[in-house]
Amino acid sequence: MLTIENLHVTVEDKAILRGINLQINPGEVHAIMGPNGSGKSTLANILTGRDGYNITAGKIMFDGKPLADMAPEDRARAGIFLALQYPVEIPGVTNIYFLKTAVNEIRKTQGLAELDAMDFMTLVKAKMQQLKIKDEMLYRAINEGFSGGEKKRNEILQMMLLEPKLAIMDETDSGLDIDALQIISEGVNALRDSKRSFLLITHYQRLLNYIVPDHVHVLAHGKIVKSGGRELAEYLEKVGYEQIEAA
Amino acid sequence: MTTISDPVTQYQQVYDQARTSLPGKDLNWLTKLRDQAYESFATQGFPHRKVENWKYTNVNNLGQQAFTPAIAIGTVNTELLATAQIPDLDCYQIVLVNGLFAEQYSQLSGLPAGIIITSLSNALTDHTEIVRTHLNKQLTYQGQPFAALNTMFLRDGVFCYFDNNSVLDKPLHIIHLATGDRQNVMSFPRHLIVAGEHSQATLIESYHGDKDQLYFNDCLTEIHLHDHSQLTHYSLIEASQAAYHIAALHAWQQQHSRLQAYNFALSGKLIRNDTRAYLIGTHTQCHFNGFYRVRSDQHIDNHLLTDHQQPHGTSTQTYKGILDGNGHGVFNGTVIVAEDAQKSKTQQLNKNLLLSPTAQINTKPELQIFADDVQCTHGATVGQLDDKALFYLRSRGISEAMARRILNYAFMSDIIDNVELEPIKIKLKRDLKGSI
Repeated sequence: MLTIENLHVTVEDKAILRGINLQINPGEVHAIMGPNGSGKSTLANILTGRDGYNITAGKIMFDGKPLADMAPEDRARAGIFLALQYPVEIPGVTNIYFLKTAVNEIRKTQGLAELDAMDFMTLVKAKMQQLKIKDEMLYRAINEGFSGGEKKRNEILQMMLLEPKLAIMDETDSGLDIDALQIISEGVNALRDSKRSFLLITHYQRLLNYIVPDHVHVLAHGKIVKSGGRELAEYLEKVGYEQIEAA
Repeated sequence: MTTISDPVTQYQQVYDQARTSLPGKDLNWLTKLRDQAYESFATQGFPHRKVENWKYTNVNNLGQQAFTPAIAIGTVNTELLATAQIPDLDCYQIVLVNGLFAEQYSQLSGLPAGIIITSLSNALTDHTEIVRTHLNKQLTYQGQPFAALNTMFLRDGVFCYFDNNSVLDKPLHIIHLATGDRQNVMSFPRHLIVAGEHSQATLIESYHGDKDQLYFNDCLTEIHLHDHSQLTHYSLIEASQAAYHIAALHAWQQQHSRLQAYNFALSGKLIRNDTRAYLIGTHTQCHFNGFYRVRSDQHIDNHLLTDHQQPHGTSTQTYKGILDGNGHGVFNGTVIVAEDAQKSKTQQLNKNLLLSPTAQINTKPELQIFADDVQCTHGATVGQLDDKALFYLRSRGISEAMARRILNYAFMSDIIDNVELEPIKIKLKRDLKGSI
């Protein structure tokens, strides 16, 4: 589904990613772990097409197509979703308007009929219940005045509504208490199936106790320095990143 | 197109020809008013950019074109009238065509007792005394030559009188159509609103023109708010792409009166709004809210003045603008708090969103505070769309164009949400969502 070959990325002329290779197949859950500044968030951002990140070498293929020239909205429509580490507050736009617009934009490109207000309401309320999100959050401005946990839940709500093929989660666990982490993980686990893939980006292995990955990669200095199964995360937690970086 | 070199001479000539046919020519006091206005206009001349009040707004082009005053209604563009009406708004209606009362399109039946709404030309004969005691009572022309011009050519408009304790049960919608068989028409609608003690009313003025028609509106709305009266006033400007629209709203507020004035400048070649409130009684409330949408080749200038002359007044000026292409906007917000106006509270906010590198805004807060026990805040911002927000929306599958529209709308949504009258809110939402 996603193939990254020898990817080099610079931000403001500074080399951040220096030769990433990664293959994610349908239905797989991959975790990328690494210390601060290793390039984790850059990897997430380059996949979604954010401005300011330049590919200087290598390529990214998604479903057999090169990603580099696709606009962010086209990537989203093709099935890539990023749950942001810092979801953006947008005063003046209600959450419900945003969610409905996004769902219908994606449905349109899939050749599906747009959902009307009633159908959308039924859909969104069911998902909100799963994530224990209060109804009033629909009518507030996007993320405005939301607590850290509410923002992260709102990200997962969007993920559940948009049903991506590849869901990337950038430090979704940061700033969450155990209860919130559990609720979010249940939401994510409910989305796991033989076709949908996940890329979890995290500093700590705590999240991986709840969302169990098939593969774990360690990112250091812009490269994947070690790959393994779930046990690699546990090993990292014990020895710390310094051991791996030094190796 | 005829061009002329000296606009003052031009307007003087037109005035000399028109004065004997103007309504109320037998009323000495009115003739005196006109002549005073004429003198003031002649002395001040046509505004130019060396005059502080007109520093950022160039009216040379306006002055260089010849316009003729409208004297008859002519053909009414019923299509334009239909688009001017606000869906689902239950209201009284007055239609003015080129500033002149079009009785057959107006709907004023069933007015509550104690309320007079008629044309100003009718009021000059039917309610002469009320008009005489209020018209132009405290208006100054200094720095406002277009107010002088309006008074010189005063021919028609709307007269509203709300007796003490009366309540206008439905809003009054004053529809201005610039339409007709001729080009280069100028019109001078003059509205006189007298709100008696404890009266309440809502007025909507809207301005419409055929798409490319060239015309010149010089409008003046004069509002006298007596003790404890409440007035909500809306101005919706949807002038033609070639139109010059110069409008003033001047209000005098007695104690405990409340004015809520909205101004939505949506289209026109050159728009200048002078919105002024003189808080001449204690405990007054005055709220100015506005939005301007400036596109390429457009110029929109809002000059506001809130003059706290007495204690315990509360006022706000909240204006937002979105500017695109080579559009040019001006916001000049003056707040005066006189030495005697202790315990005044005033807030001013002007925010601007520039969508292109060639759009321009001049924003200038002017606070003149002479009292020491007051609360005054002000702020002005000029910015661009937030890249992070734009990316966030796009990353959820929303196209760039739609994401920009959503964010533009979001920028001014609080001004719209603040609109009290639901049909106007819905109309603005619909119009703006489609156009920004």
